[in-house]
Amino acid sequence: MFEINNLLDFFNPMKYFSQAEYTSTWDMLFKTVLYGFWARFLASVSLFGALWFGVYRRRLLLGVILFVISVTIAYLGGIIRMIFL
Amino acid sequence: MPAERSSSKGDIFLGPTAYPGTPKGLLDAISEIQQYYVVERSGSTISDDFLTFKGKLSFFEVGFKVSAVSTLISILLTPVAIGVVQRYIPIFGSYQPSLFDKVFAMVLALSFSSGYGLLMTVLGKYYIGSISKAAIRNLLGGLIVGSVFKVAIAFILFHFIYFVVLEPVRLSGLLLKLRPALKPEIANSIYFWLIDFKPIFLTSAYFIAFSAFIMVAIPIGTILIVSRRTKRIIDHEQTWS
Repeated sequence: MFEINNLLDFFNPMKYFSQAEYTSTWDMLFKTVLYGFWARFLASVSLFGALWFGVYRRRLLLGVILFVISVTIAYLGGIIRMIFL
Repeated sequence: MPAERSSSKGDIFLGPTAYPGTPKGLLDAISEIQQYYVVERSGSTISDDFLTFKGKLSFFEVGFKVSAVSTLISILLTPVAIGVVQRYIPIFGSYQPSLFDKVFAMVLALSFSSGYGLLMTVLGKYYIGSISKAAIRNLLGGLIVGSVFKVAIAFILFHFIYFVVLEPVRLSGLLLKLRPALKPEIANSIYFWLIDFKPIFLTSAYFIAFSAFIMVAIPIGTILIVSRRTKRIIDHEQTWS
C-alpha cells in the first residue's frame, strides 16, 4: 500500500547520510565554491563571461547574470564567515 | 461577393508599431543607429527632421538610464572593493587578500561601468551621416549628464555618510538605540569597525569620479578614432568609384 511517509522518507537526506557527513558535505561544497582556488577560478570565469556575453555578444541579460554570480562568489564567503563564525 | 471576400482576406492589419527613433534600451538604440547608418551609407539622404525631438530625447534617456544603472552598482561595489584592498572586508572568505584578490576586487567594481563603455564603442563605426551623428550625440549626451549626476550623488552620499552618519557621537547614539538587540561587545566592535572604515567612503567618492570618467572616455575616444577611419575609407571609396 502506498504510504506518503515512505515517499517523504525517500527525499530525507538523513536516510542516506549521518548528520556529521551531511554537514561536512555542505561545508565542503561551500568551501570549494566560495573559498580558495576554485572560488577565484569560478569568479574570474564568470566575470570574463559577463564581459564576453554582455559586451562582445551583446546579450545583456546573460552578462548581468554572470556579473551577479561573480560578485556572489567573491563576497558571499566573507559574509557567511562574518555571520556564522 | 468575391471581390469583397478577397479584399477582406488579403488585408494586412498593422498592429501598434514602435514609434521610429524611440529606443527603449541600449541595444535598441544601437540597432536603431545601425539602421540609420545603413541607409545613410547607401547614399540615401534622410531629412534632419526624421529624428524628431521625441526621438532625440529618447536616445538621451537611454544614455541617462545606462548611467543610472551603473551608479547603483558603483555605489554598492566601490566601498566594498576599496574595503577589500584595505583589509576591512573579506574576499573569497579571506581578510588577507593576495595581489590577485585586490586586482579582482577593483576590476569587479570597474567592470560594470567599463563594460557599458566598451559596449558603446561599437558606435564609432556608425558616426557618419547627420542622423546617425545626432542619435549618437544624444546617446552620449545622456551618458555624460548621467555620469555627472552619478558623481554628484556619490559625492553627496559618501560625504554625508562620512560627516553626518558616522560622526562618532551620532554613531554611538545610533548603536545605543540598537542596544536591546545587540550585545555590548558586538556594538563596540561594530562602532570601531565603522570608525576605521569611514575614510573609505571618501576614497570611494573620488574612485567613482574616476570610473565615471572611464565610462565616458572609452566610447567618446573610440568613436572619435573609429569614425575618422571610417570617413577615410568612405573618401577612398568615393575617389575610386
